[in-house]
Amino acid sequence: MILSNHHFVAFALLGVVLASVVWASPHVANAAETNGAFAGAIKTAQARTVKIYGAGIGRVAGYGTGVIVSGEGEILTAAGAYLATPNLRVGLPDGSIHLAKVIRRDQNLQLALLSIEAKTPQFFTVDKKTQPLPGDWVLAIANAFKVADGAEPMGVTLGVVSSRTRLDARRGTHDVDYADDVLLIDAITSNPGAAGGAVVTAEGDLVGLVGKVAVSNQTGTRLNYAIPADLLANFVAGKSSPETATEPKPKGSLGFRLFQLGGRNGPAFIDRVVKGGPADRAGLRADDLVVAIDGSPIKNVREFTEKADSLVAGKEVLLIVKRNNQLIQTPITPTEAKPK
Amino acid sequence: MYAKLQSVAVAFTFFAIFVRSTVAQESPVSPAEFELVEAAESARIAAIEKVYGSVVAIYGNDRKGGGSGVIFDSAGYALTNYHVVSGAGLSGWAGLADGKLYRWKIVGIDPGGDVAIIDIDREKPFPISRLGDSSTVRVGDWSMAMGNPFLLAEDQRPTVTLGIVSGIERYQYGEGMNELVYGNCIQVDSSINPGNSGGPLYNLAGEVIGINGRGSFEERGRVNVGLGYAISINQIKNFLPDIMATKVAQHGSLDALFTNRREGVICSTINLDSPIATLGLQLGDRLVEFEGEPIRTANQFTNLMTTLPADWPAKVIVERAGERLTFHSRLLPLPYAAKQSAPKPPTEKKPIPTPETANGFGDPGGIRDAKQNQAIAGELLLKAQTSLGEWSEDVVAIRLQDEIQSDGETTPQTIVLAADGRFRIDQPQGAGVIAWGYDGKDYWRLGKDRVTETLSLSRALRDPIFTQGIVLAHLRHESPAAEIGTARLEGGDKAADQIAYRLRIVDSEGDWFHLWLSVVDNAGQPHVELLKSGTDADAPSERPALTWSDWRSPKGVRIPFRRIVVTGIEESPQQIIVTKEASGLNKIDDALFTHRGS
Repeated sequence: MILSNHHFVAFALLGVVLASVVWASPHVANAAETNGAFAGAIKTAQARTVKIYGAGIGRVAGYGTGVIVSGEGEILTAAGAYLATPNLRVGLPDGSIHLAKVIRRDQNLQLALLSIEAKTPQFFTVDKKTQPLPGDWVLAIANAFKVADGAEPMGVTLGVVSSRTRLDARRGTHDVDYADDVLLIDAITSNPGAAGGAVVTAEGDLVGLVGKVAVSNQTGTRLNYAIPADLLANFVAGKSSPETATEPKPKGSLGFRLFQLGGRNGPAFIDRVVKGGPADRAGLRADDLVVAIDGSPIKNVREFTEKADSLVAGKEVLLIVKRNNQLIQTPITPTEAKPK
Repeated sequence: MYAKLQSVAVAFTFFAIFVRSTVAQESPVSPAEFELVEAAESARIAAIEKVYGSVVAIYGNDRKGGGSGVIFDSAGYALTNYHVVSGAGLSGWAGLADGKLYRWKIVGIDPGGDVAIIDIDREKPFPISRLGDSSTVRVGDWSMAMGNPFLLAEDQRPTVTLGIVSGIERYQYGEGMNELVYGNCIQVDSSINPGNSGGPLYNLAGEVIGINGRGSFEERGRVNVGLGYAISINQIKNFLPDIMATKVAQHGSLDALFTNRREGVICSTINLDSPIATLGLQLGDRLVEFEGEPIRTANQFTNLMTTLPADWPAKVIVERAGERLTFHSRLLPLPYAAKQSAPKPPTEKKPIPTPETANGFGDPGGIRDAKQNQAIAGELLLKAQTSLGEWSEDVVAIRLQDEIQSDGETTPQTIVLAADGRFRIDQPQGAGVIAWGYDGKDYWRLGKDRVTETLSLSRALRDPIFTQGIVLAHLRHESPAAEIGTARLEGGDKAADQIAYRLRIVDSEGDWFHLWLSVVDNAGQPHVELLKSGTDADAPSERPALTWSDWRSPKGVRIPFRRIVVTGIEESPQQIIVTKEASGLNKIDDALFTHRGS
């Protein structure tokens, strides 16, 4: 349950907006004419998109895609284990191969900035202002399934922007750590090797970066999404979004300890409440069973630990506990956790 | 949850389309732009309607499992994937958009390129799809896939999915020994699902640009993952003659490997027994051009090679020590793994099937069904005959005034072709004349020595000058093959620099000659027309061949105004015969065609 019900309400509203937006977009008319409407955008984008070759680990693909973001060989891509090799290489559109090193990463956005020692005169301008509307055409350029080799151009898929929404990806719901806005697109991009690919408008402007494969643990379906250009721009400029402060915000503590003897899969019963702590002030007691934090169900100790790890001091959350046969809902503001 | 979310978003996109008329008033899109969108949409719908009836759902005899196909010939021939028929067998059921099932039987297969042709049994003519030119396909072009995904169409009507061309000249590795290789193929994001196999990929004009056959299913299971692959129609055209010959078509090889090096694409391995090594190709030679295409990478060369059948006369240009060398060599066949069936002791009732015939498709490179092959050869000859046109009623013969260019000299020639097939050819020789003729019974030649000799048909055909009359006369006959003997479709070959059907016509005495007929016309559409004739497929200098081109229609009948005497598989011209003037005759003297008349 990644998105709560109010997102669906948002979608319903969005649909009404879409109705006007789709036809308000001049791209529709351009692209619908006949063939060749996208040719310019594809050519531009392909000249600015690169193949990345790293380390293959287990079932994780040892390759990916990236976009050139400066004339000095700076390449933006999706973070991944395959980047962790001294033999990381970037294949430029002309087929030349260059050794690359990772110069910066962002955990929340799952981004990495690479650098190669070569001039890259053709690059994308990562622009905060380039924000597509739902219904706008987008083209995704990526080396999914390593379909292209050497100087061969990478594959292009076509779709429209469905919406911009927040993706709170966590363990237990899907296997990618991402916490920020995404552009949902209906071009199929959630494939091995596609992450880091360019998502561009029908004019060839960069509006996003293909995100890492995100599979729902509940349905096994995949989400096709792009990391929006404004978030990319912050990262490339060295500024982090509020969510991704370089100085991590102090971790929050709820002021209670769970009953641990049941193991990580045991139920999340409160064992002890710290006197004067947030839980104490909220009226929580030992033997209360934690069933949800901020709308996310907590089935066991493991899920509680994972959720509790992401709590930020001073930021109120909504806690639901079960006491006897009663559900008790209470807001609770974590305090700064003492370093262990 | 994601799927739900996405479908909600997609649903709204469609919703948007339905309500467009109501928002048009406030929309900043101009009426002209709306018209463009609607015109494009109507054009697309019209294109789909035009080809709708030619898309086939293909099932085996048990009607379980299956795939798709597309009819390209009004006689009922349809293209599909080899992997569709290899599952279904030699015959089965074909569902057409009229909702009915018809019987189909196999014609031939190309396991290497994953292509097969089936023959559907229904009253003719069938609705067909035009074949496009896949070399003009560009990344970003719209592409429509049609077929029967998930075998969902209970009423046999095809499903259409729209997307774009994602990549061209892709290479997808095969399976087993040289099977199911997708070389130089088209990558699309049109949804390709199981059951789409064998179905057509169309451009927006509704022309077939490829046959959908696979997707990148390796990680996500057998559902559309946004990467589908179609075998290019131009490759399929190269294999059409072999498949129509009821063969198990084989792909070609030079038996030499080329590798990317700093200096270029270099020959790194060569079988010294291969024809091209015999011609002089050496290790270290740099590949410059293959079949007229400048070669940049080894991958590109491999891609081109996968599109060519065995026995194809390939032109290879290499560079050695600054010098350019040109080789013309027929490609060797790439072998297939013998179908392994566990050896069992023979019993009297059941003979052990040989490995190649175990699946019933025949031997690699061999003709599976001689009878079917002859029937198809007969159909081709009739089509070639049709392409010769009809004589106007008031014309009984046509006189051609020709010019023969040879070694920089020009000499005249006159041909009189009668509507009934008789002919006479005259060439001045010094003060006199030498002549060739057919009086409806005998082939005769009047030599320099004023002596007339009568020749058998196959002897006469060894003389390319004689051929000018004979081939046209015989193709005009009511049943062209039966008049001479039997016709057999040997398979594909290159003639006059294009893909051709090569027929072998055998006369009653067992002598034979070849006719090369075109597969497609300049527009890439199936078209059968005479291209070349000769008595030896390789046209050695003692047995030159004749190519036929520049067809024009004086007096209704079509005449090749340019005929070239050629030798070798490279077709090097020896004599060029050009018609300068053609005139219709309304009466003829019978004596003209007899040797007594000369």
